[in-house]
Amino acid sequence: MDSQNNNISGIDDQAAKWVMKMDRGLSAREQDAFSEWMGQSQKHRDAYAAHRFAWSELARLAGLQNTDYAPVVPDLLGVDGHPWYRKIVNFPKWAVAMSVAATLTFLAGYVIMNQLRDQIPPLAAAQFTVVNQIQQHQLEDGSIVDLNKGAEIETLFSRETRLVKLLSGEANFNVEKDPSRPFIVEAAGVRVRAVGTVFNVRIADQKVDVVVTEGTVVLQAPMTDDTAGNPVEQSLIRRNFRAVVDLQSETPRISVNPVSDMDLDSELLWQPQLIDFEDAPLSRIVDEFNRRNPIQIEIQDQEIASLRFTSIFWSHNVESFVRLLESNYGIEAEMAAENRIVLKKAPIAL
Amino acid sequence: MATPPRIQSIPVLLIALCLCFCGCGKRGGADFDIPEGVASETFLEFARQAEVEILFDPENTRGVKTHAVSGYMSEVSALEIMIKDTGFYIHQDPVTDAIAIRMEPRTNTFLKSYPKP
Repeated sequence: MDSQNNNISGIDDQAAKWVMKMDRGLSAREQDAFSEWMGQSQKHRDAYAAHRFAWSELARLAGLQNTDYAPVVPDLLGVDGHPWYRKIVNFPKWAVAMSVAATLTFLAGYVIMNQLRDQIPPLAAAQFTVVNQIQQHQLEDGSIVDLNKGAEIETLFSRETRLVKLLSGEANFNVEKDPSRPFIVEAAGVRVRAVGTVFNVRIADQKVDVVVTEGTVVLQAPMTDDTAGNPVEQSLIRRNFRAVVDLQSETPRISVNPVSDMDLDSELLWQPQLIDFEDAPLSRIVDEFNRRNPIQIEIQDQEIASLRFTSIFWSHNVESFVRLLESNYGIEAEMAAENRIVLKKAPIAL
Repeated sequence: MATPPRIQSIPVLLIALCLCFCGCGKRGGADFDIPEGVASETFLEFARQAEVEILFDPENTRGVKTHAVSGYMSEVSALEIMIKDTGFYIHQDPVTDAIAIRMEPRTNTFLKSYPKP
């Protein structure tokens, strides 16, 4: 019985194989073999006919799936039975393995890069040129630099140091602490080295002027032909001290002197600061902006000078302040000269 | 041998995880925690927490209380929660993001450019 079943099963297998071969097309040799196999027995011919019919029915059903009719899903309510699910999950094993590996690599890379972003700085350089305005920039390490008008800096950050070259003008540095990577400002050959501190550097009249407002910096006079190969002169500059290096001198020396808080305030007035007023007349707020900016605001009408406001603004952000007054409080602003803005009462619209 | 469906769904889940992971890094706005209170004080607290410049007429804020706001959201969304049903309107400068708070709806729209210091 088993032998008969096996025999029938063998004929079915052969018939199924011939149907598939027929579907892709037979070679001349296969054609001869097929004819010979069909001629051997009626059972072969019956089995072939049955499989051929089943094959053509399957092809017809496959064609029906391209119509508007939804295919029959025996396990419609089971997640595995949904067609969308079968389509999505029908990946070969190698694709699963590859995608798992790629995803894990991506996630690991993302996490590592995020963690090291601050530790491994880009080795690229950046340059900030200021033509005629005060600007504030945040450097890659989080340090803040305020550039006075006319200042130009170039940053060269590496894994070992944070080097900023002051090419011209004046800049104030609020350095983010990082003992492993000293922050160095180079101005006309003079080097100011800090870890976490606030200081101002200015190049003017062939002199480099350094004022420390927080912490301590180490100042190094520039290398000259005389000092080549020898240790350069260096000084420790503390808070509320000024160091001046005269570049015209053949052997530039560092002279250090104390600075009073009052002098410090007036000298560093150009730096952007938050000016905060509670219930103050417009005239007082405008005075504060004028004290800190080359752009001067003039109030033409006494009526608007006495308008009272509460405000928090950056001292250099005159533009934003004036525009909000103009857009919201019936005030008209007019550029009277290059650096003069006149505020007056806006005409009442009829 | 066919791959079990549960294993085959792993790539889909991992891709979704990646998208969520990347999305988490791109946030905009600020974390707010401002209790309800007098408008003149809460507006200033808002400006400090949002780190935005602000301008308002203190006369308008007298006797007005604002709602509490907490959580991560945009500056405007936070302020809208605070001033709901108070009669205040907000106007954000499109260039600098500075915010003016006033009582009446804004009638003028200016976008002039002024020289910077």
